[in-house]
Amino acid sequence: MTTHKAAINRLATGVPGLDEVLGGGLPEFSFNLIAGPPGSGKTTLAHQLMFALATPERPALYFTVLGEPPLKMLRYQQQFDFFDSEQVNVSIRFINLADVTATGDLQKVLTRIVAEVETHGPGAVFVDSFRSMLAGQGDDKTSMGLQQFIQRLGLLMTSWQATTFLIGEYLTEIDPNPVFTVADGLIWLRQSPQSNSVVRKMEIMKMRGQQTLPGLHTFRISNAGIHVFAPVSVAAPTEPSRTPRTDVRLRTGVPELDRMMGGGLPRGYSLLVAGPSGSGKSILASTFLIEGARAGETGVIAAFEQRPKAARGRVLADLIDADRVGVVDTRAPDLSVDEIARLLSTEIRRLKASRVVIDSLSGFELALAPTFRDDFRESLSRLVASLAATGASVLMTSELEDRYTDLRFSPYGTAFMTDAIIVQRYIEVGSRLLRVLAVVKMRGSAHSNELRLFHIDADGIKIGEMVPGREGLLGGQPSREQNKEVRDIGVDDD
Amino acid sequence: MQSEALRIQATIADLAAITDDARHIAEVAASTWREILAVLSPVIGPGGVIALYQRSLYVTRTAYPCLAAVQEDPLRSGEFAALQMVLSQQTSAQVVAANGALLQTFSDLLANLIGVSLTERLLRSVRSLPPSNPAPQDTST
Repeated sequence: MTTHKAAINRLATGVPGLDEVLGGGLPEFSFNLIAGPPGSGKTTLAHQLMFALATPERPALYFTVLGEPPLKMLRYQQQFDFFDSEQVNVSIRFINLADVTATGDLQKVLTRIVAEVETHGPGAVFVDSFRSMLAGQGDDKTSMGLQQFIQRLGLLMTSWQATTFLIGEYLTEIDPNPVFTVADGLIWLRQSPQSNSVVRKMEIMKMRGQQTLPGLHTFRISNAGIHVFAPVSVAAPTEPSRTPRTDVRLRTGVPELDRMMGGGLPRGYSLLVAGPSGSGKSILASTFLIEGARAGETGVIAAFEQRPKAARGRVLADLIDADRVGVVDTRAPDLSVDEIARLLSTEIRRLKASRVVIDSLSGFELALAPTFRDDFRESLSRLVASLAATGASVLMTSELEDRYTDLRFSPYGTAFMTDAIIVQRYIEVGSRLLRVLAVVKMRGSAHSNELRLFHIDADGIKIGEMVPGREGLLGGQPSREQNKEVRDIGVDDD
Repeated sequence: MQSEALRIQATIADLAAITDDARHIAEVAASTWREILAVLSPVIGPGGVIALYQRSLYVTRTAYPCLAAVQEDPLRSGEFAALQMVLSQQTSAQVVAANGALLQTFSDLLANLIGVSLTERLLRSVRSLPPSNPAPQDTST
């Protein structure tokens, strides 16, 4: 049995997130197709790959065909940070094939490409765009067919030890294009519209010899170029954090609440704070981060409510300025869950944060592009799992309308995903709106079952007594306990 | 600042300093343009280079009316024969000035489109001393 298998080098693509999606990088000497409709980012991806792969010893050749006028292409591509003019004519060579392609003879095109490849000995070859090459193909019966051209090009490039990319326009997936069979890799770029939002997505439909991450991966194009948001590694050990040790506990900043939780929030737990608007969820979240900072810990906050950080309180604002609490910028339109998860985990790693706040899930859902809202629960579950993998303790808030006919803890059925739940609620007593809270769930730990009054003052949340002598609190209109006081205070208990 | 365009202009001015032969200077100017075409064609396509050259002629014409007479044969525009013909009929000082202005306009136009740094990077490959006796070049591509 031979052990000398061909070793396939994997090239780093220079596109953040793409190596992960590809399953470890781009196989060296592979023959790849970058396809997608106009405006999907094909040329940008090709340029970004080219500037990453090219070296003076193994330059990159970029063949431009009829498609985009090269002047325009250079004009716009150089706006990206990765475009380094100094590499042009050193490690990067542009070669315009317009004149040869105009003849419509693919044999001539191939001959020209081969001649250039022989001259420069490139490590990477790009042909942009493939579609226009087809359009340039005349009715000449003597010219070789497209399939033959592709096969010969692929074979030649492999034997010349070059990684090759064909950039193709307008190709549809249902079109049984021979290129798909010949190519080793097939990277499909899309823009997926829903309602008024458009989300860019990338799919690796094929990549020979390696395990790619299946599915549509969102990406963004900014001045830095393309950034692919690979799903946050699920391979990371999530099990240990699913059964976290409950002996190390984090203080929430509300001493009485810690006592109710059996000594604080166990490290690595996720805590859902659910309650109606104005009940003090965000204040509890801020207190949680501030208490962490007091203990020398760092935190990260993803705030989806559209308000400045000043509105979160001066202490927290100071911590943010001092970089003790990182803020995940969630203002970009049409976010994807993977993007948020990626931003969060990057920030958590940067600050070595042990406390994370997501405020609130309702805002989070609104910030997502409409196309992701349909499977919000799945997405949220992925996010929680990815955060659990970081080992940080997570506090999420969730807007929950008070319903006095049933008892619910989260609007998304997310309760099962979290390790602990605190519910806040309004009750009416003596013509006053009072707040109560309870620890509903604390996985693997004893906790209080008390329903406690609390109020919010300048110093934060103050937990008071249980509501004395009343029952039916969760119905919102508590009545006096029957066995103590027969006389009602004017509230009908139906 | 367009240092590469100035460098190319300077080589022609240097030539004018040692000879008054306008025909020879015009020949060198045309060969420089062929060199520019050869250097830029792979990157922006021969069509792109010629289009920019025609535009430069049009713009520079106001300052140097003699350039109005330059009508390149569309099929052989890469030879810059008409430019060479027109320039050879001027004084050597005029050749240097008119061609210099044309080069500068061309370089400015290119920089406008693809940026100064990339323009400089590309024009750097234009040889600084064109052959005084231009070898027949294959410009058929």
